[in-house]
Amino acid sequence: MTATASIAPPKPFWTARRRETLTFYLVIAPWLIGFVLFTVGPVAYSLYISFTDWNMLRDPAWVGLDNYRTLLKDPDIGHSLWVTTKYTIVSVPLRLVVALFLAILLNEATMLVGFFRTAFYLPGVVASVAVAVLWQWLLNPRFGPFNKMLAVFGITGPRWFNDPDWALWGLVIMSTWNVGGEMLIFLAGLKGIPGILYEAAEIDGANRLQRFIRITLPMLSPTIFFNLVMSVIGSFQTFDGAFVISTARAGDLGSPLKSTLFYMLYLYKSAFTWLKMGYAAAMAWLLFLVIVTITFLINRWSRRWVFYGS
Amino acid sequence: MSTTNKRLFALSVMVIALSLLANTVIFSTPRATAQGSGVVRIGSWDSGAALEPFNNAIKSFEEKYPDIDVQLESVPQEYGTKLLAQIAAGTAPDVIQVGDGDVARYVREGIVEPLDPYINGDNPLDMSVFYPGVASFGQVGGVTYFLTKDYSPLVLYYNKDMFDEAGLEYPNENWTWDDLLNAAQKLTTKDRWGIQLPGHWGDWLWHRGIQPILVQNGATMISEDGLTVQGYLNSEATVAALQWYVDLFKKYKVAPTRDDVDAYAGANLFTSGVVAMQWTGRWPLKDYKAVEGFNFGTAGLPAGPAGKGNVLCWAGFAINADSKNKEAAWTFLKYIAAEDGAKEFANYALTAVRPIAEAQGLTTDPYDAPIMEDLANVAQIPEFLTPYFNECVLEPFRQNLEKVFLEDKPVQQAMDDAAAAGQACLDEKNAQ
Repeated sequence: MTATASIAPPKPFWTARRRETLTFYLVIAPWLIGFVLFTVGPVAYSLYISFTDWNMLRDPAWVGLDNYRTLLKDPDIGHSLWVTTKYTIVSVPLRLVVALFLAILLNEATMLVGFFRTAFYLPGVVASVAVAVLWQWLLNPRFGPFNKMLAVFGITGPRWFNDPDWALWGLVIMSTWNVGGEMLIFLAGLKGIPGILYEAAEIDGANRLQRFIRITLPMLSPTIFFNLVMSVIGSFQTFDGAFVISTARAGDLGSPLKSTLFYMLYLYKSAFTWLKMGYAAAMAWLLFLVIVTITFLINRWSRRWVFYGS
Repeated sequence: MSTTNKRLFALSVMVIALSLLANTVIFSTPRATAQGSGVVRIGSWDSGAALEPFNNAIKSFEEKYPDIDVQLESVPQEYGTKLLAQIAAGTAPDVIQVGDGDVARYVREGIVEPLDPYINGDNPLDMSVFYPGVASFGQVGGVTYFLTKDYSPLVLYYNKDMFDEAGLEYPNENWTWDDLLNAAQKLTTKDRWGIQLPGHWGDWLWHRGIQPILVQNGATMISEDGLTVQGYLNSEATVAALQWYVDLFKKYKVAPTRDDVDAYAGANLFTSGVVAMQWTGRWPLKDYKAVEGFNFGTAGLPAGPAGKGNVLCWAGFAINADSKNKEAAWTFLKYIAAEDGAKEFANYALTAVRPIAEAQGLTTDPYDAPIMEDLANVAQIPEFLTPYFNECVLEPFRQNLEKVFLEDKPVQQAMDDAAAAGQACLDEKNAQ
């Protein structure tokens, strides 16, 4: 068919562009529907619930900002945020250092790399409840290997999970055992650093430490940044290990003496022990704000030290 | 008749015929029998050997009522939490096991079905088969909501060999606090303790196990009307009783602390000879009897300054108010709480069913006789006085008692703080 120049043919409705748009929406529809139904919906509902008094057994009753006002007055909110922050400040850097160290070992290793990579990652595969039970044994004040080892050097080990001054640090130690995820990400980052940089530095006479500080760290900084943000977020949501450790010993959530009352434990207690769903939802939104703020701050701070290459 | 009228007539006839037909169909369908049929789910926090009576009772029940299929759901940890979530989601079992601490709360929230219509209905139950004192645990405001599963007072177990070794007289019904402390001191050596209390699992804040000590000193945690803790939780009598309790750990060191119990990671300190006496419920008795060559006895609790005193730990069964199969649930509930199924539970723990208990001969059994005798000293538990007990009384009590143990907070100060927090909480709740 030959088109005449004088009469413009009617534009078909299904232009290439429209077709493409439709295809796009069709292709992402399964995800989009799931996202709206299972993420946006519940999130919006939890925001609504946070303005109500709801015990799951009766209908939610609108109370306006009451839950948020109570949040500000509740001393356990500040306390549990402080416990969580203390834990985060100590455990996150420790975890990252351990993960980076293991990743460097793997990167340098020439033999049995696959075996060690699996071995280091293995704790991540173990269920967190099993990990907590295991560590309760390892840190058993009287019969645990940890304190037995200290006793060899004449040190009386602490009472770990039974001592309000030590319980949190016991959990920190426990958390450094399971860094397989971060380690793998570091390892991938290390593999991405061009060997040519090290060669050049070596020729210029840089020693190992200098090469690590001047090449590895800057080149790895985007990976460190990523791991840092993810670890901080995860750490603020710490729940399972602390839950198992504090309740398995016939203690209360966050015991001894609320020393391990993580924010999420307190949220859980408010929601499921006291059935204050509205209050717990408000707590969840507060935690969300805290995490967003911290992530934002880390992001701003990262501009000073993250190097994205030229 | 005009055509229109004919048509109308035919239509009316058809409508009438159809509705008659429908009626026949509806009314001729076999009505569910009073016993019910279908699936009945039962939830319990028991696990391991404690599920034996459930399994036996379910087996014999299903033989008797082949139309009903009973499914047991055991949730050994966080049972209450899971149950509430299930109730909220509408997926809770039809028959639920409930502890005494939740009775008032579950009734207030309308979680459990009032049983009187069933008790007096087509498939009735004679309530006089129960011991009234025990059955009253399942009643709130004169309405029966729960039937007793089992109950237990606190019991003082003692290791006869350790007492013989120390040349001490066995605990008896005339024992006082001083006798108990005296014996405990003589039985305490390095790595051995005179007495483990309260309970055998290491929770030294377990208020039900501590409650008898308050009763023995004439103290209560809360006023009779359930509105006041100020002046009760921190009364002179309460503080003195708790001081005596705390001293067993801190001053006289005759009782293993939570750390000590924890270090043994779940091993029973009594059967392993680490403690000479144990102050806990009756439920481990069956296990202790099963330990070969273990020479022990039981006694009632000692008398304090205000005389003897004890409290019950009680568990009951209720029908979920949301259950879709209440008739069958009731048939099963009746079977396990009052009929043949109750015999299975009686083998494991004390039964509330009088004929079964009498047939068991507990009052003459060497182990059970002292326990049954102490039932005369049982006092009311404070949980029944207010539905806000857990949140308003127990929470501050536990928190402050823990400070006494771990931070050397004086008992008086701890209970003053607990009473202040508890009173504020109660006032707020009761004002709503």
